[in-house]
Amino acid sequence: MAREQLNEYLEAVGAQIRWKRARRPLLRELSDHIADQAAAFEAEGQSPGEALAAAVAEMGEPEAVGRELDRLHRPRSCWRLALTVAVLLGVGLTLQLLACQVTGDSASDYYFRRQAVGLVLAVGVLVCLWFSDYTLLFRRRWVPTAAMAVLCLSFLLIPSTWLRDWWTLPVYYLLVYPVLLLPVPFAALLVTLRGKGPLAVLLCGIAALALPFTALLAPHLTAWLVSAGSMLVVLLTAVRLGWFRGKRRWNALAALGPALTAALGMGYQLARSDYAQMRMAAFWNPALDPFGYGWWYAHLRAGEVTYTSPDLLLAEVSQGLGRWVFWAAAAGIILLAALLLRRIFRLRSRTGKLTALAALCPLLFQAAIYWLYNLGWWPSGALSLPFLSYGVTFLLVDAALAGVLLSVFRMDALVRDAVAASARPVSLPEALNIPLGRGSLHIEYRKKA
Amino acid sequence: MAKSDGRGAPGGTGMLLLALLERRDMYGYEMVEALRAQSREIFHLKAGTLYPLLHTLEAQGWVTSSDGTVNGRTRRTYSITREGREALAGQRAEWYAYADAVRGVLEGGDCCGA
Repeated sequence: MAREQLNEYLEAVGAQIRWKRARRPLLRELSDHIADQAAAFEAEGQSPGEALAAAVAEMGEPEAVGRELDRLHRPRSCWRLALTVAVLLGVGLTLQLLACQVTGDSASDYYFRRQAVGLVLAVGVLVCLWFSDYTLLFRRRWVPTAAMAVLCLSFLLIPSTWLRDWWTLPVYYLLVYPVLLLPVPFAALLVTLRGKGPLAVLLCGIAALALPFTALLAPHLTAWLVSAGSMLVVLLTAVRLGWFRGKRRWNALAALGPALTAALGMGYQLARSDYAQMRMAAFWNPALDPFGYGWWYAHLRAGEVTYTSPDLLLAEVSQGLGRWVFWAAAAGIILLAALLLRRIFRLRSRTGKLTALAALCPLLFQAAIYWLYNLGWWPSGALSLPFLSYGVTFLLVDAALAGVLLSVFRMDALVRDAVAASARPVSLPEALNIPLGRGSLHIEYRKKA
Repeated sequence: MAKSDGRGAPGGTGMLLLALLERRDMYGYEMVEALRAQSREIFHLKAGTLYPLLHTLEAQGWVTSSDGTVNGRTRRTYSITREGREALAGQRAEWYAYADAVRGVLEGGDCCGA
């Protein structure tokens, strides 16, 4: 009978809560409260049935509670960000259409049609992830590791005969593009490691560098830098937010230690490589190598584009409209970054902050590198100008990252950080609960000699 | 000085909850019991009032919550934030000023010279 009363109460509250995903955590908190109250009544001598019925009666009118909880827990769809992505996608497709009309060749027409199909698929990916539950990524400890293994090792699914030719398109796709998604399951892994010490931070710092190894096989140094850099930013943010046990300074050192060591090692290797020295010399001083790599940097820095490429969208538009295009693009990137970072650091849970940052960093880093590359000031290759430049796979990857970001914003009212085993709050023993009233407590201590 | 935003948030009961959380982290049932005990059985807060209020304080960034497991059951623990402490300090000052004013009137304090 009492159990029925409890179910009726919870059903009546749940009926008022319109967001289905919110019902379960909210009703769980109320049922936990009823269980605590019933246990207290039982301790006072009531029978279990009476105690439960009395605990339900203590809760108050269910419809009023449900209405109030419903008002406080509505999904935040963040339409402005979705609209911004839609506008960028639209502008990107329009630029492809203009290129198609200007050149009038069959290749441009083919690329335009391909990009249009890619846009439809990208919108589908974005919407699916936007309305999905991103907490599935870290509800089970094995999920982040499995997701990272799939992203890192998907290229092994390709027939071994193809693997001999790294440059064949399917191999290249599976070596480069999945690493851009890696920061998201990496953030989920950090979420499951709350309360761990500096050793866990050090291992995560090593993992951030090692996981995108497939990009180096391609080889695509920029993809590796974007992925590893994003994961390091997420790891350092977790350290700063006090996610790990121990002093933040030491944890930050443990996070950055592997990256600093790798940077020194790479610097040493580059210093010994004649080819790398030649590339870097041409990058810093194109005039020294006017017919080799220097030619490329010199032309881009002068604002001259001698052939069309999906990697040179900004440079091409700038050649037609003027150099202001670069400054407008930079302002746009900085403004979007500032607005989104402000929104991210206002999220309620640190779990949400880390996941959102993991989705945002690869987008921002890609945009910044693309901008530098188009100005002739990036020594390696470019990836994409998210949602704008040509590339169907890039569209899908960037849409997936934006979808995760939107999902985090949408579910903010529901997601809570899990308490670490060692960080669980400890109730003060009754014996120490000193009723001081208006008096004062004097504590004397002596400094150790 | 922090003030209520007029949407049923802090002020009266919100201030009391912040004061409880200022001492230590608590879960919902603990707060109801602590409020009852520390008010000498005067304040009996219904759970149906408590949780919407706690979630409002959370939306304002004055408290945070985290899920832990105690005896196999998930339990949500609430903690006060730095902004919450600042808001509490402001509300506490307002409350003491108000209480002093009421006491002054009830006890016939200094005449204002009219």
